[in-house]
Parts: sequence; structure tokens; C-alpha cells
Amino acid sequence: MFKKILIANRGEIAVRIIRACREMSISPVAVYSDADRTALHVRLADQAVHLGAAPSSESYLCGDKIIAAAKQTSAEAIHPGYGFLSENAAFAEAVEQAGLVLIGPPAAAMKMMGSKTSARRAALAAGAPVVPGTTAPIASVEEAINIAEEIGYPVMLKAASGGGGKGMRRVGCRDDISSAFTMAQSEALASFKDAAVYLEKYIERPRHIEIQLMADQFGNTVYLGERECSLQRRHQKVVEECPSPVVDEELRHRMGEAAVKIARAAGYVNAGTIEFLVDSQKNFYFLEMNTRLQVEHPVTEMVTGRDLVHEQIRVAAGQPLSFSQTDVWLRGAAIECRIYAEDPEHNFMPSPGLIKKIKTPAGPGVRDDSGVYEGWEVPVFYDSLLAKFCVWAETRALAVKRLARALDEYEMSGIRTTLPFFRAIVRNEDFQQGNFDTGFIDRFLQTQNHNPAASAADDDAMAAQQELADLAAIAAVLHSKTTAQQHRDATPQATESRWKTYGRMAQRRF
Amino acid sequence: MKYEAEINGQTVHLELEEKDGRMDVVIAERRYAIEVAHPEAGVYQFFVGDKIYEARVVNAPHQAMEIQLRGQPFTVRLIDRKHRRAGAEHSDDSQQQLLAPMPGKVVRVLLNTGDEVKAGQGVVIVEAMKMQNEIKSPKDGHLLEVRVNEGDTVTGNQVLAVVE
Repeated sequence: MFKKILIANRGEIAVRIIRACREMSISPVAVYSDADRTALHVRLADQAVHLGAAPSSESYLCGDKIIAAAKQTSAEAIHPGYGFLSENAAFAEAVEQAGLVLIGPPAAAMKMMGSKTSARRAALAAGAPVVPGTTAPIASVEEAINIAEEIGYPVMLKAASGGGGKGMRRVGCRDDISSAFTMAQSEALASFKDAAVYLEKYIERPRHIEIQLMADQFGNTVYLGERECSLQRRHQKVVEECPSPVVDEELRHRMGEAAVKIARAAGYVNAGTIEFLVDSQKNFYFLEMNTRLQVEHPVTEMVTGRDLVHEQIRVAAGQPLSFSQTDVWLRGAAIECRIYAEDPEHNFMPSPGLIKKIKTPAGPGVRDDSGVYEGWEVPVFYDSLLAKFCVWAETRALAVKRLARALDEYEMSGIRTTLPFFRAIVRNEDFQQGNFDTGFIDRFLQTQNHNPAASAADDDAMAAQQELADLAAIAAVLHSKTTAQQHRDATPQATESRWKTYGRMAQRRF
Repeated sequence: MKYEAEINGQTVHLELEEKDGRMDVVIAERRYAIEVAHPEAGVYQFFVGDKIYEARVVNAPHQAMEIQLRGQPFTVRLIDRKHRRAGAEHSDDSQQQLLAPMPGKVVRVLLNTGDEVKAGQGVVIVEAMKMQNEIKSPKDGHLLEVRVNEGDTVTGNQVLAVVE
């Protein structure tokens, strides 16, 4: 087993991997940029190597600096986490050439599954169902029209090297295809430096369901159930759960077997995920493979009882999987919310800045994978994910209740976060029933009821709601008085003893 | 003391009397006798009869407060009667500033000083946290000045441009 691992990442995923290292008696090495000197992942590590300036292009994306840092600290392996260099085949090769181990798949498998068109070919070769369409980049508008007529409208144009919703265009009819093709190409070029686009049948109101895989170097490939990832905003996942409310044992088995075949065909090793679209008739179609650990891996861990990061490290160290397919079963239900530094009241505008207060939920069945702390200033340079908050319970219905309870306990102030948005989602009846598709969040945001009093069921509920609104108004008055008093207290000795302030606050009654 | 507040878009009038650590409040003929505690910053605990409520208050943009009570969100803005008249005059002002909503980097300047602009039209794109945000004009008019250039780093609430 490794004695020392370098974590080539930051934020909550770096913290997650450091925790696994500690649990396995491995010494964790962090890397950091100018903006992250006092970041949580650096504070928790044994050693830390400075990479460079704050922009990721000068720090977390510098493969050579990261490999040098591993050499310098005698780390034997590098865990790339997700994002940054995690799916960069050139980096994977460089790590190998430096005589280090990358905790991830071989570069060849990464390459094959990294391009959407070659991944699609691999899936077809493995006999997996794919969305009808092309496997090769489209050369011209005429070709696009021919294929679209063949498979029928609506169709979807997608960037071959794409991801995150960029370079994607839905085309409803022939008249729109020419302009959509040009725009998809230019977006693809701008975002991925590759103008290649391909075309697929557009599945109406699909669910996005993915299979978690784990494979070792001895040919064992196991699926660990599915994750329901249909709740997305601008093609970015916001809430994920395991299991999916619509997947039964039979469908799980079929999807799992298909995923295992695809991974085997690609010579895949380590943790990976196969994403499928599932239509309303429960037909599933291969979408893409993510050749890394995923943000939403904790829900699978909670339901299967398997630690995926421990397993990743063991597999990379040359050990066989610690379990076989028959050892994997799902127990209960888990739901994850991605807490972003974004303002849901203002179109999810990023909200970096000083975190003045954090209070995390506690009690049964909760898990908070966070990368921040009270007093930390969230930098503007990186992704806005602050924490992944998960709950587990015996059934999905109980997990939804637990999530509502725990989200009410969760406090974060100083910056704006998506917590209020999740509190609203968890109270939505369709969400509670598991009745949603990938268009759910957009529809939810359009129809969200901003006046909860109007939705109260009867007179008693109306009165209770009115009381809450009145108390909120009273709280606002008290808070503005307290804040004004603090401003007066703050001068001229701004650094008054906290005990003195506390004493005065205790004396001052409202 | 009398107060006026806007709560979730509706205006309410509060009359608040404090004595001996108790508070009597009247809101539109609804009367409350409340005891209040302040266990930690931003948290107000109300004892209403035998019921307990905890209001968590967070300051939001534009002088609003976001309040969470039993899991429900309320957006409250106190209306300052003394300043209301002055405020009204101010909003008549024909000049309006476009402010950076957060710290970040100017990645594109879409319009130049003197250009005509329509309400809702993008003027500047600011990038923060790997997201690009179009800062739009609040009104029809023309740009009196654009104060930033591509590549500039801006702080939250920095004036990006002025529309007239």
C-alpha cells in the first residue's frame, strides 16, 4: 500500500480524499495556489506544495508542477479528484512516465471514453443501446439534414469533445438545422478547441440515470447500483439520489450488465460511471462515460456501504476489489444536494466572499462533505461548489423528510448559497413523489411560489402561516436594531472584548 | 414604535412596545405578546405562549433581510419613512449606475461610452467562479460612461458603467 499520496485538487473533493488517506494510514500531500494558502484541504494535509498564482491555468491545471511536487515530497501516487486534470489523458501518461501511479483509469481507456464519438462506437461494439444518430463528426449541413430525416425530429446537436451543456443544440425541424449546426460548431470550437459536432435523436423528457462501476487490474468489474441525476440546472446536476425512484431490480440488472460490458470493452480500471438516458417507457440509451470519481459518489457509498475512495486507492495499489457483484446490494435511500456559492434569488449569480457563519446539521443519517469553514473567504477563481450534503434513510420517503429536517438546520451566512433553493425543492410534491425528468428544475424555477401563505391548505394552516410571516417581520425589526447598535458600539474601540459585547447583549432585552 | 415592512412583496405595519423584557406587537389587528432571546448572532428566539420559534436572519442584497423560520424563507425589507421621500426623488434621477454584483474579472465589454442601450441589454460580462454573467442595463438610454476595460479585476459593487 502507498505511504504517501498527493491530491491534485482543491475544495471539498481534496478534503474527501485526504479523509480517506487518514483512514488508511496514508500521509496526504496537498497542493495549493496563491488563493488557497489557508484553504481547508491545505490545513488538513501533512505536507503542502505551492503551485503558483490563483488562476487554475497557473496552478491546478499545471501537470508538470504537480508531478514535480509529487517527486519532491516522495509521494508514490496522485489522486486527481474530479475536474482539473482528472480526465486529461496526456497528464495520465506523464504521471506514468514519471514512475508514479495515477489513481484512475489507464490513459488509453481515458482517451477512448473521453471523446464522445469514440465512446459511442465502443458502446455500440459492446452491444449497448445508444441514442439513434451518428458516431462520427458531421461534415456539413446537408449531412446533418440527411441523418435528421432518417432518425426523425427533434434531434440534438452535440460537441464531440463537449460536456456541461456547451455546444448542445436541440433542433425541432428542418428549418432550424442550418443555423443550429453553425452555432453548435462555433460554441464547440470556443469551449473545447474542437469544432466537431455529432447528431442524436432528442429524447423527450428523459431521466438521467448513471451506473457506478468499480474495476480492478485483474479483470473484475462490478456495478454498484445507479444514481438518479435528473435534477439539473443548465445541464449541471444539483440533486442526486441512489437508488432512482424509477429503476427496479430488473432494469438495474440490465443497465448494470450493459455498463460492465462497455467498461470491459474499454479496458477500464478504477472507479468510473456510465451515464444513460432513460425514456418514459424505461428504454435506456448510453450517453457517455465519466472516467473518474464523480461529485455524487457519496449517495452510492451510503446505500451500498462501500467506500469508493478507499477502493480506488486499493485498486491503484494493485490489490483486487474487496467485493464481488454478489456482495453488492442496495439498502435504503440517499439524497445529495450540491451547495453552491450562488444566489438562487438572483438567477444563481456567483457569490464568492467571506463565510461569516456555518452550522452543519447533525443527528442520524446525515453526511456533510465540505471544503470550507467559518471565516474562510471563498475565492472567485474556482468552481462554486462549497459542500455536498447528503442524507440516508430506510426509504426514499423517509430520506426526503430527513433532508427537509436537515436542510432547516443547515446555516451558512456571509455569502449567498443554494440552501434556500433546496429547502423549496424538498417541499415540492413532485419531488417528494419522485416524479421528475431533466426539465424539472427549469419548470420549477418558472412556477416557484414565492408566497407560501397562498398555498396553505385550510384556515388553521393560513393562520399559522400568517403568524410566521408576522414573526419574520418582527425579527427583521430586531435585527436592524441590533445591527445599528453594533455599528454604534464598533467605534472607537472596534476590538472590544467579546465578553463585554456578550454581557451587554445579555442585558439588553427587547 | 411604529414600523413599516415589506414582506414577500406585501407591505405591513407593525406597532411594537417593549417593557420588562416582553414585547407587545400589533400587526393589522393581530396581537402578539412575545418574549425574545438572542442566543447567537443573527438568531432570534421567540416565546409565543408555549410555542417556540427561531428566526435566522441573513442580510441580503439591496437592504433586504432573508429570514428563515421553521424552514420557510421570508424576504423582508424595512421601509424607512423619513428617507422615503428622499429615496423617491433619488429614483427619479435620470442617471443609473451598473454595479458589479460580485468580485470578478471583466471578460468582455459589449458596448462603449456614448452607445445607445435598451433595458435588459448586456453591457459588460463579468466572470467569477468559472461562470460568465452579463451585466444588463436597467433602462433605455445611452451610456454616459463605461468605466472598465476587458481584463480588469473588479470588486463587488464597483461601478462598471453609467446609463442616462
